[in-house]
Amino acid sequence: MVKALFFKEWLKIKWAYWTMALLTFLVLIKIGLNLSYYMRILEAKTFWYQVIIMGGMFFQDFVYLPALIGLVIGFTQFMPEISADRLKLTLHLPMKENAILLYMVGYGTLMLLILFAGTYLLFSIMVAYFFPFQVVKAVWISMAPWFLAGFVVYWVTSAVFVERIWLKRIIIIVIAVLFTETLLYHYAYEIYRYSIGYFFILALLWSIGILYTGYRFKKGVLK
Amino acid sequence: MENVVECVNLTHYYGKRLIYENLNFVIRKGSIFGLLGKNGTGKTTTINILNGYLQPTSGHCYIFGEDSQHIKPETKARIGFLMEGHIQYNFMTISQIERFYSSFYPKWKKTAYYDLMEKLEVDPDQKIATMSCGQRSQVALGLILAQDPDLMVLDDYSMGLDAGYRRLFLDYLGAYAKNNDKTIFITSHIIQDLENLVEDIVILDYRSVLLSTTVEDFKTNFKQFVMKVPEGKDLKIKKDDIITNFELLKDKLTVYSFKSQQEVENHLKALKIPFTDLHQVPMSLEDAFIGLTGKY
Repeated sequence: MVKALFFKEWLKIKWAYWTMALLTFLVLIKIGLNLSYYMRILEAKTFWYQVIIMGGMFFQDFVYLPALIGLVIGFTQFMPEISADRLKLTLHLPMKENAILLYMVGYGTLMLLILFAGTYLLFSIMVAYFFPFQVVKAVWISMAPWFLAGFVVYWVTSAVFVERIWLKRIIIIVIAVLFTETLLYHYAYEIYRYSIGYFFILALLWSIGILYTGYRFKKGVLK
Repeated sequence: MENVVECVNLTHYYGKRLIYENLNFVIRKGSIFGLLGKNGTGKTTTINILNGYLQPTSGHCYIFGEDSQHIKPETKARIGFLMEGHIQYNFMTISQIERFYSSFYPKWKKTAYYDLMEKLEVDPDQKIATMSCGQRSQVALGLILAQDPDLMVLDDYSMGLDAGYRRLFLDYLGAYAKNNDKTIFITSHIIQDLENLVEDIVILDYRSVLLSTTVEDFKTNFKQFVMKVPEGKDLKIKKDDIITNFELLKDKLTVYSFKSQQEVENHLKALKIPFTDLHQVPMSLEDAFIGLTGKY
């Protein structure tokens, strides 16, 4: 049953997923070409100085990308469920309603994790080619909140779509925007080095937000 | 006889707007039950409550003995649900949707689905989104037949269908129910189609339940009397215990009543209605429905 549910989720997101994967790959190529360009034009030692001493972030193209991916995947996965109240069909499947919702969100999370992990891996290889491990580690820590924001945006999008009432949707979106905004700071390396764990725990709370809006959907709550 | 569905004192409000109050009905195992009413009288609301998608303001519904707000997965597997407008996963193809649903239902009958699909002459790789409304209705029906549920809940199956598809839908449904001793709960606002299908009915009006009976009893006991009256005369006629409904068009007065012709005649005379040529006119289920609920 879970396999069939995942099959349905894949059918909804596959085009968006491949498009986002392609976009991520293009961003990786762009950053790679930029790196190569700076090394050749500015000379390695100047670029090195800018990155290591001045703290220049050469990967700022990644700041909003995970959030965009989270939004697109959440939209494509939950829009068909909400249009024409199709979620009623899904919740009528012979499984527990909460389990159905969690499997749906779990699938999207898993697919994001695969895409984000692949991006991290390829980018790490690229950075490791030009810089020592200390820089690679700093890049990992610096990018972590941005990718965490990607998951949060996805979880919020799924919860917002399942909510029926616009006022509640707006309230959820406002709270989520305030939270996500703090994850997207990018003025220095490793600014979340000591707090990323706490942000991670807070972010996880959003992952079960769909249980709240799903409960309201099921009860037909109109206020 | 065992009741598959039982709704007790169901009352529902949307905000301050009353939909209905104290709706009571049971659906017997193996019967075909029709919930009839004009648009906006609460048919879909009842289905939503029955499926657990809406918490009633008060009252309870039980399906196979379980509170409809907490239906177990095993019980959900026994209920086939057709959404208003034959909504299905339109991003799937004919074959994908069959594969998807087959994983959930232990009694899945693949042939029941594909037998119906063959009649549509559609490609198994065709997406549901690209099909006509009539074809989509057959996909939705085929999926329910393949599920082989003990109870089918069909919310306005007729929406958007032309006469041919409506007939096809009902032919399949009727034959299936008869052969397999299935229980069907159907709502529709096209009453004429249901005349030869449903056995028990509840007729809803705005904010109230008008009638709960069998089609047979309704057609036998509810009568239409037509008579001539002087045109333009101010008749002191109103609904009461004997006159369930009436309609005045120029010099033609139509009275609907559950009483006998003699009782109606006596009542009209007591009201000093100057009628002539009073006679009973036979009605179809649709005529009776309109007679009871009115045209507006």
